[in-house]
Amino acid sequence: MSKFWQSVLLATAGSFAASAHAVTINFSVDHLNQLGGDLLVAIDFIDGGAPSNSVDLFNFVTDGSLDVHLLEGGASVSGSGFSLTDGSFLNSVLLNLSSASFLNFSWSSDIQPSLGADFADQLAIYLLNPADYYPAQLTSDPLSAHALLTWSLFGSELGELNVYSAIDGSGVQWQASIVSDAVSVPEPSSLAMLVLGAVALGSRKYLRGEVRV
Amino acid sequence: MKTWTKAGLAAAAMLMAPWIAAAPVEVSEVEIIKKGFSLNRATNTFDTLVTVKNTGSQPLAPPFRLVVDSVRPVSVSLYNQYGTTEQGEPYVEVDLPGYVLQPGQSTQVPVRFVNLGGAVTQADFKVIAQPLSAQNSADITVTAKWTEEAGGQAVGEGYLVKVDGATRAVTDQDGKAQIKVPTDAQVVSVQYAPNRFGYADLPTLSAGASALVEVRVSDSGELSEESQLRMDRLQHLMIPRDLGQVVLRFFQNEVQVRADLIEIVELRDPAGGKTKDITELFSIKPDGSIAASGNTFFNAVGSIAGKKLLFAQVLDSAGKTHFQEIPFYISQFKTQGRLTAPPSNPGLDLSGIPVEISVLNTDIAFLSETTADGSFPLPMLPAGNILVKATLQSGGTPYIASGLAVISGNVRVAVTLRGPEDIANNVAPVTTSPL
Repeated sequence: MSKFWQSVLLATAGSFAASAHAVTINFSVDHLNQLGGDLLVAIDFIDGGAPSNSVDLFNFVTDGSLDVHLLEGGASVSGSGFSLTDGSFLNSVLLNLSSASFLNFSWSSDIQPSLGADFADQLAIYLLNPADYYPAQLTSDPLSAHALLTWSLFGSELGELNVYSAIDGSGVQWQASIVSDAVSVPEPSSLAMLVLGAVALGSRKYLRGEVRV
Repeated sequence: MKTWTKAGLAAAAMLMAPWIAAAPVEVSEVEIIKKGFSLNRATNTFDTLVTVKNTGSQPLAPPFRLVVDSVRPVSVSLYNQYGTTEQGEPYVEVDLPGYVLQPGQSTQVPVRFVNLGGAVTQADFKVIAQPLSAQNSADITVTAKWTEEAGGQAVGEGYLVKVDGATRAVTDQDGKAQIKVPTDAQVVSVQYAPNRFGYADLPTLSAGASALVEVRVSDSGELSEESQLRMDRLQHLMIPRDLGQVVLRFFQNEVQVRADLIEIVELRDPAGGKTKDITELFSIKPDGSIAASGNTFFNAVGSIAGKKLLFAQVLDSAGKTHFQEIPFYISQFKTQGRLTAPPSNPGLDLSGIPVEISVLNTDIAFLSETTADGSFPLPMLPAGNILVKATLQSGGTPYIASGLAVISGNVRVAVTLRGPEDIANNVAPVTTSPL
């Protein structure tokens, strides 16, 4: 099956998955060439206890090359993206990113938020140096772990998204935004529209850049 | 460049240290909210932000501490531990907005866990602090002035004002600060790093009273910024000999300080012997930490045995001085631990049993915990004798595992739980085998 149709099917499946309190977040990072040629992108999903959650990562687009460095814990390849479950404490997707100036991807989850009695499940994204796993991009992360962002499945059904800023003048810029919060199952007629939309989106993303996951 | 003498450090520390303050009490009227963990790959810690909200009607003043009440697995320890309570529970010192947590106000506390097994499955916290009620507090107005020899004028703004060692305010442009203090408070001090310092005894205070206190400041102090020095991968005071690089970081209010200049790094002898300047081994990394290659560092240390002290002093980008000394031991041998069932009760459930480990003639002591097969994770250990202890009650019978093991190479340590029958049968408490 071609990557194009894989992306169409994945986008369609994502629409189904987004039928009950699903949250989808789009992430993009630009000017990566300021950090040198090779980077590791770490996407960590850490289990905080009950309730159980999972995250689907999809629509990876970059003008560089992207391949899997390491899948850890409850991380697995899913279609042209990845699935992260909280089956282990630390669940990580580590991707080699070379010669890239930008990287975009999205993730979605039917979240079951923690209310604070237990720790919350949390997703965080980092840019690391492949040689030593130290942060390649320094950020305003209050934990000094230098996450680009954290998304804590806490409180509301949208979770708590914190996007940090660069503190080292590297020129790298990133953003993330919650783009959908479907709270009801789509009607069949709207499902058809979603499929058409997914086809359009998939073809646009496919044509925009090289995806090698 | 100025380096600080031990005598100067000790004198300043007497009035800087929050642990000389009146003992804080456990506070029940707080809400503690836990969010998610981040993996900090540089420090190899799992970090989280804990929110503490004052749900009571009284302001809560420092010492304000988030205490780790319980944590699982027990092999987890705090990377940002500031001390332990009288009961031996580790705590994190909490930075408060405005130096006091008013009713309804919240603050966030970074908590960083190091652990042997790669997971933190559960952690609970409690808060100890100094509640300020109308019945136990008074108001003081502190005026900080230079000594007469230095001109006698007000010191100006930005000087830290401490009560019994806990920071409670900063001075305004007139060198003044108003503070609500417990009536049993004893000493107020004023400081501005790196060297401006003064203190005064407080008068006897009665509840609801107001008092004026004048503090004379001179440049006789030797003060670091209020920061903590930490060594990456240090756990239970040990760093492994095979570490690729030795990384040091200062944290101020739990935000990492970015070093701009390394003034000095030296190895000190706890017994008071010669110090060794190893500044040239260290360089500043892009994230503001300072690092040396593991090989050159350990070669400079020389003898692996015994307790070491590492002193570091850096300037940050604002020109402020940070210095501190930390103790450490070097661990070199891989070890594996296993608790085995007593011959008198071979079907005994061995999962989840806390195991105490201490290295004799050192400050190294920590807990581990068994998995279902009785194995328990151990870090690399220094050469020496370790004491291993575990206890269990089953069916009314007490079982005790306790014994010494010699660590002189990579070793597997098997400790047997023994009931009265096993002890009578001379079952060996500990056996070791090469790993």
